[in-house]
Amino acid sequence: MMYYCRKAGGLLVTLALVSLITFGVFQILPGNPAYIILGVDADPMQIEALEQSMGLDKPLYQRYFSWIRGLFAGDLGTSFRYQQPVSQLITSGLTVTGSLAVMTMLMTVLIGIPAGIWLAGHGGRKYSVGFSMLSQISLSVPAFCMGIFLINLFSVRLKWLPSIGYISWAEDPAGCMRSLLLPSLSIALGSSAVLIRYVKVSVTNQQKQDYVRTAYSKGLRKSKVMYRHVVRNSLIPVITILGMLTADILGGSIITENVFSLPGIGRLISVSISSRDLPLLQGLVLYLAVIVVLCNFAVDLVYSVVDPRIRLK
Amino acid sequence: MKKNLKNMLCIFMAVSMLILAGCGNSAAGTGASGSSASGTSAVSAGSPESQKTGEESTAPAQTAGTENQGEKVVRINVGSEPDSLDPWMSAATDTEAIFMNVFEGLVRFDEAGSIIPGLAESWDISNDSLTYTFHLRKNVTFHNGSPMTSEDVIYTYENLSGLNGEKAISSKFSSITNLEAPDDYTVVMTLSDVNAAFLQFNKIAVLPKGYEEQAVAPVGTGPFRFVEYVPGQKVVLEKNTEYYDESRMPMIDKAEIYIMTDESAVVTALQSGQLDIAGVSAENAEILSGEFDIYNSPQNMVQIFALNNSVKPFDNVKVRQAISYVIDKQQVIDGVFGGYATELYSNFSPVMGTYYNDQLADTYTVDIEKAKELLTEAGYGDGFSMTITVPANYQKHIDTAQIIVEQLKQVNITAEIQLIEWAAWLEDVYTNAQYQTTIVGLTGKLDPNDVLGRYTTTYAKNFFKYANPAYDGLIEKAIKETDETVRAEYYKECQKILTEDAAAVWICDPNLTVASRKDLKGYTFYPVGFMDFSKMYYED
Amino acid sequence: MNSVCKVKNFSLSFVQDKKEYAAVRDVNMEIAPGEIVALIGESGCGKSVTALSMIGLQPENARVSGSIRFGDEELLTLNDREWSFYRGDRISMIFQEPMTALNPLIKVGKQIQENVLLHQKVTGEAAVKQVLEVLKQVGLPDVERIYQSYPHQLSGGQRQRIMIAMAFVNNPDLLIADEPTTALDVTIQAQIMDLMKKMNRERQTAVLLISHDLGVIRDLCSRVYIMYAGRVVESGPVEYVLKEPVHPYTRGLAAAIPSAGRRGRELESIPGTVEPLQRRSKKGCPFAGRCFGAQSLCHEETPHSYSYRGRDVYCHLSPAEIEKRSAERKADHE
Repeated sequence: MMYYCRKAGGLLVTLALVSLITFGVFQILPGNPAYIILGVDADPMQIEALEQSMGLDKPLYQRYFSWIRGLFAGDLGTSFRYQQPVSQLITSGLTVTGSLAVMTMLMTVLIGIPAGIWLAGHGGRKYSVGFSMLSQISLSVPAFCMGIFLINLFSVRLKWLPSIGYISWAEDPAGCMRSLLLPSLSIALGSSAVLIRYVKVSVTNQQKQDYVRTAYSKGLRKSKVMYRHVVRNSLIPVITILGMLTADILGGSIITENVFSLPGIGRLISVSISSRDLPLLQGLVLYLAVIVVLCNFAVDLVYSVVDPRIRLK
Repeated sequence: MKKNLKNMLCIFMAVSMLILAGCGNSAAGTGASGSSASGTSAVSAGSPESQKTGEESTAPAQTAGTENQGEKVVRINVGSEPDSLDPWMSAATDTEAIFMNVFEGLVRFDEAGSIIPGLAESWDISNDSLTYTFHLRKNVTFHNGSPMTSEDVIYTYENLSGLNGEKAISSKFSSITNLEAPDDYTVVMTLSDVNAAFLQFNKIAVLPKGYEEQAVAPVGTGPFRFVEYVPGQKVVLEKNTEYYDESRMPMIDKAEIYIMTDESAVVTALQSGQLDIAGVSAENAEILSGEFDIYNSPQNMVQIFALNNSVKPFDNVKVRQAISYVIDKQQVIDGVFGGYATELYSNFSPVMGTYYNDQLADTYTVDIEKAKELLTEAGYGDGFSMTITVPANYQKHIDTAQIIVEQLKQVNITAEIQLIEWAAWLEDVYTNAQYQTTIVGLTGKLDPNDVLGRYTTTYAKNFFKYANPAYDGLIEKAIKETDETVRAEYYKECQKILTEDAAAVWICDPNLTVASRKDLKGYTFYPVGFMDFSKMYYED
Repeated sequence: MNSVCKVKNFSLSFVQDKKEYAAVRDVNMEIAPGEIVALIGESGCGKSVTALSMIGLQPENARVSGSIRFGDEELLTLNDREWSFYRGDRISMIFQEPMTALNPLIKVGKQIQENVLLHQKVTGEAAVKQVLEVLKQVGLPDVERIYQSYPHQLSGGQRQRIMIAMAFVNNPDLLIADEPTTALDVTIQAQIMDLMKKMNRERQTAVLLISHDLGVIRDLCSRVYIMYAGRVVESGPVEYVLKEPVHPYTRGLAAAIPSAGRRGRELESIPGTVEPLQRRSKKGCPFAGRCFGAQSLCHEETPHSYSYRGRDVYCHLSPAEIEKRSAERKADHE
């Protein structure tokens, strides 16, 4: 119980600090949100009206505290740019980015884990070199580049898959998966390359452990030793990496979302910064901090379930 | 442990099969109906309903003719989010370009920029130019069904001018001193000052009295009605079947405007069949020119290399003139715009034909010797160093700056490019004039006063810091001049003064390039941004 | 004798950077059914790798030759599939480090059950019963709870008992125990040794005990093989070899054991150190460099064995000559 309380307390302090810093930074940055929204030749009356509705005429501390007060009531404020509640925008962005994250992680795991295990088991020279090259390419080609290449192949030439836009699951599950297939793939190719390495190293390490020798000495054949004993032990350190990858994607892959015109968190972040949309950005920053903490927590939780040596009391 | 792994593998395989199944189904669906009539497209992949007022998002369908045949949809892109759905709150050019299909004012304008009747079928201006009487059309209804009468016009102008006791919405109408509606279809406005541009202001939207929801569900009188706005994704408009003017009744059923910030995504969307028509850059137009029709037109924009007149050495007219002799504008046009731009000689584009001064072309032909002479006279014979502040998000201006840097070397001027964020540019350069030189594009306006009035000392955003009382006087006169011919002469004179004073270097008017499906016709260029959907149609 | 396992002319060399280094040279051993035999030597003498070869778990880069017969079958030529019939069922092995020998994620009972199910055609339930039975036999209390425990919840001694249980559950003919108590407390050591004696008695399983602890061996084993740097130098019944050693190396070993009888005297040690693998010569007696009786012949020719009072001795010198040289050396020192 105390453990959870302490963790929660830590989270609150982190969030408070982070929001204060974000708020502060925006006061230093040049740029008036009203101008950015309305444009260079806007009528001065309109600009004034907008500034008032955004509360920009009130002093700093007042704005910050009314935001904090709103937080406790569950209200994250209204976005300057979109004139809609921030919580609503983040939720709809999260639907998109969340779906993208699910699909990407599925692909990453589907590709990464079997490939890593296979490589560790069949680490013959010829496969190693070819694979190394392939994974180097996957790692060094940035996701958006991969994205553009995939679009060119699958959307333009073959016309199998859409290149832009997002269809929600609730509306059309098959369409949803089709619209997310290419973006997920472009991210997953890179992240699975990372995962493959980790899995391979982990499995190779486990193969050298004593309990593996014991398993052989019982008369188990190689494949059984791998799948009953080695793999499960190998996947434990991999959980940490998966947690990190998930948090990363949930943070919104800004560039991939731009290339595929997906209205996700990444898009919201880039728009909120360039429009100086403080309420939206504050909300997003809070969201990001919470995601990181939650992912870490989830990793801890999974560890405690999977590894009997670590059980939360 | 073995069981768990087996279970996991089963789940993975099941999920991946689902994914593949999803791909397979849809591909089969769109492939089957390839022979449908050209120009029709489905609303969304796999859904039979055509009216989607839903909250959820849809991506444009990929190929022509799926389940929904017969509905004509035009899908186009726009580069930024609408700033507000309420036309009185909105000022962004991109937003207006879309919503001029939904809202109308007392007057409208045509492709040449001339004012034509809108909701007012005619008007009378008093001899002293202080009283305007508008005669309204009689058969207009708003999208919510209520008929338009002078009541709505009064409501509109009371809000705009502040005569309703609240803060004025727009400073343009602050000169209105009185509003009257002698009957249901006549409105009389009295002004305090003469303003030749006043008529043009009246293209602003007339909104229905008492309707408070404009920011959420906009209602106007235009040929298209608003369907939905999904933030981050698209705006959807549909044909207003009750539109009062048969001759302007839309020939398409629906317009979907997708918000896309990435240029290459726009190109691939065209190629993959998800957009029907799109604004693209000149280079991409080359790539698309086989499959698509390419339309080109100057866009009434002035790309300006502004020299801060209040800062040394640009406070010296000889220095500014010298620079004008150095800059080879054709190089920029070819290098940055691929030849698709029109050279400018003052702060005015030839698109606005009536007011354009065409005598200024030879004022500063490229002459390095002359430039050096002028610099020496000004005391800068050895050149000097300077900064060009460029907003970082406009690649074309950055490329232009690089060419200019090279050109300036010829007279020993070392220029350094400083990139800053758009928001920072707005604050530092545009508002506070904290810069030496900058490159930016000034978007087109309908009235010459809006274009040339920027250089008066009274204009708050005169970031060029040009100060010439004679010029101010001329602009003042032009505002009050109701004789169009005389007014045009004044403005031509203004352009001449600016050029002779080398207030800045005006480089070119870049073309707007549009790529369109070959069976989609009717795209029209206007002097200001306006996606006129009522003119577009599909050829069978 | 009727042997459970017969090792004949067994050699093993390691391949490294295209070079071969002989780690075991021409070793002969025999184990009778139900016997407890010891294989003694210092670290690096090749005893572990010989033991591993008897269950087919020698390292990948090891090249073997000679013969290891188990009953009628030749083990050195078996492939992976064929080995799976022997391991865990007819030949078992327990290792030095009990702390890491078990899979940390699986309950210990299940790990033993796995062994049963692999080699016996019984139901899961029947297997569990066998496991509980053997757990009792190895002296663990509260066997139901132990069955459900994870390795990290048990002590080192308990874990080694689990290993022993696992090794014995299918009644193997031969158990190879590679220094099973080295990593344990002295008190636990004694218990584990007693347990092994008990299991050997009750199930008649032959045991090859690898160790360097002479005290434990004297207690437990009937015969010993002494190895030095890859060769057996002396073998025979435990009392003879350890009480009255013949070979110069064995003499040195026995003399180095502290005992009550030698209280107050200086500890004896064998001068010199074991040669590292890369520098050992392929012929001659490996002990020649440190032997008090070494002659030039010893460096040239590998000694054959001769019998002497029940022992096999691998030396060029006769026991009498060894005795003489030894006495000479003692005189020199005093």
